Amino acid sequence: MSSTDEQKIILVSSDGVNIETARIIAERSMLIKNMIDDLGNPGEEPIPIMNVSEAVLRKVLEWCDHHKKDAPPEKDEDAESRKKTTDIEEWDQKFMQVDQEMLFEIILAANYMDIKALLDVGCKTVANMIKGKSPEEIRKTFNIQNDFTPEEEEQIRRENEWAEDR
Amino acid sequence: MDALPLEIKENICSFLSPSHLKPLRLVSKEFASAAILYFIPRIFLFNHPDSCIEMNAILRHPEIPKYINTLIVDPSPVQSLVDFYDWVEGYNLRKGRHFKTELEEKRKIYNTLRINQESGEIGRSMASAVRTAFSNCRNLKNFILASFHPPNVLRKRDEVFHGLPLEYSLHPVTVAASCLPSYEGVAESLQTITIKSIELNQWNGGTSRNLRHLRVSLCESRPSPRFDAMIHSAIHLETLWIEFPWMHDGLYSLDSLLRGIRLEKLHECLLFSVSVSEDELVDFLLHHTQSLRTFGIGGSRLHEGSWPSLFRRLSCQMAVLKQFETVGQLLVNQREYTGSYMAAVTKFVLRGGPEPVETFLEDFPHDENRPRIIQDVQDGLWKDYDCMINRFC
Repeated sequence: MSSTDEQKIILVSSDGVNIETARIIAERSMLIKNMIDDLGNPGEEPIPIMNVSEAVLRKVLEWCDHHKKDAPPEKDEDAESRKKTTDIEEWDQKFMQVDQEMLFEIILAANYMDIKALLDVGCKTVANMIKGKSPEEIRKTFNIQNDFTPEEEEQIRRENEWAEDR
Repeated sequence: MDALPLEIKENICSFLSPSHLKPLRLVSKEFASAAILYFIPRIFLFNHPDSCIEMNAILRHPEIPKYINTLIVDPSPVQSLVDFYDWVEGYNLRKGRHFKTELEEKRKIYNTLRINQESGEIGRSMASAVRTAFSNCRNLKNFILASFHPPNVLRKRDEVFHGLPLEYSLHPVTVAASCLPSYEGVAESLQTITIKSIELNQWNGGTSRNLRHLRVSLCESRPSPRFDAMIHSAIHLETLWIEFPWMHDGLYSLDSLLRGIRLEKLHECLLFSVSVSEDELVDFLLHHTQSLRTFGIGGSRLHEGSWPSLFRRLSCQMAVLKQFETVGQLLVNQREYTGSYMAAVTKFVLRGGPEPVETFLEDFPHDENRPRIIQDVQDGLWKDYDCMINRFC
């Protein structure tokens, strides 16, 4: 019998493609890990990943493969206690050099598959794209519509005066 | 970007500082909403009517108060009239004498402010704002009382006071008790209290059973008996920093305070400018062998016993101690131990081995190469304030 590390499992993307991967890689996703734990016989039945297309799933698994030996996430980690740095390690920076559509797809997939570290890397990448930009530049970068009335915008400007320059 | 749900936008905002969140809040309603969680985590109250007005406006906001976790109060008043005229002289020189109107304006502002501070009118407004903060901010758990601030806060304070000079910590700022969260129920909600260079002789901190972190750098040479009571009631304390003002012949004895501290979770303890007996300090430390990860002591004196004996009794006794540091002068007959001796002591206490032989310097050199305690910033603590207070950083 193969060890847990060597076990293979099959994931099925939302567009119906079977992707074989090692259990240790797939289990970076807490969603998959819990499903495997619930099913009890890993490898016997394909696991559907409903909301993630083949292209995005392969990309997510590439990240999981690179990080398969990282320490598992701490279950009780408090959102406030996490170190809120936007530093991203070099490999992850290169991994995230994709077009905006793929970047957002990876973030959504990480959120759905419950891969906290990948979700954070994605969110940090977007945060770094926001830093130093004016509201108009941010709208242009991400194609966002300004939906404020002039009065609402003025109110936000007044509230902004209260915040620290930090 | 539209495809990302609000919770992910909130996660993105969690990686941005208030400066970066300001323009983001102007992008769209959804980002204004996502950013509000991290936009104003801490609020500042200065001894100025405009500061009270601003804080009350923030506290009336329907959303922002829910996400405020830290209240920072600075009761520093404007400097005395004599100091003010000294400052005016300097201002004249810096700006040139043709700025007469501007100076007249400053003088009016100064006079009005000083009258209102001395009459207690601003103090009452501050007290009211503090009470509102504790009532409206359901997540408020950190209270910082300080006249020292990181640079960005000093700039903000300077703007509020139109550049007028304030008393600073070398002149201890005495706080009106009514300004502080003294009543039961308020202190109960606090997890962290940080105090820097403030005289607390009127403060009744109340019981503080939920307090986890207490960092105090006091101006008075002897705290009120209520200070000991406040610490002894904090049965869940994890961090304890205590610093008293340096006094060559009158360091405050911590014996009775330490005798009453028996905590399950105390993991960090830093003491500065205190006097203690070898037996009390050893008892205190040995009682916390299973929890204490960091211990530092500096500028302190043993009024009974000796440092080498103390180090010998602690050697290899602290099960989870990772950092042990002595900084500044551990007073021994007007001499200081050398850095190499103290480095050997650290190893000896943590890992045992042969006992180091005492070596002294006659003067008080500053050893830049000594190991430093690496700050373990906990939930709800603020590194910028910690670093101003912690002599071991």
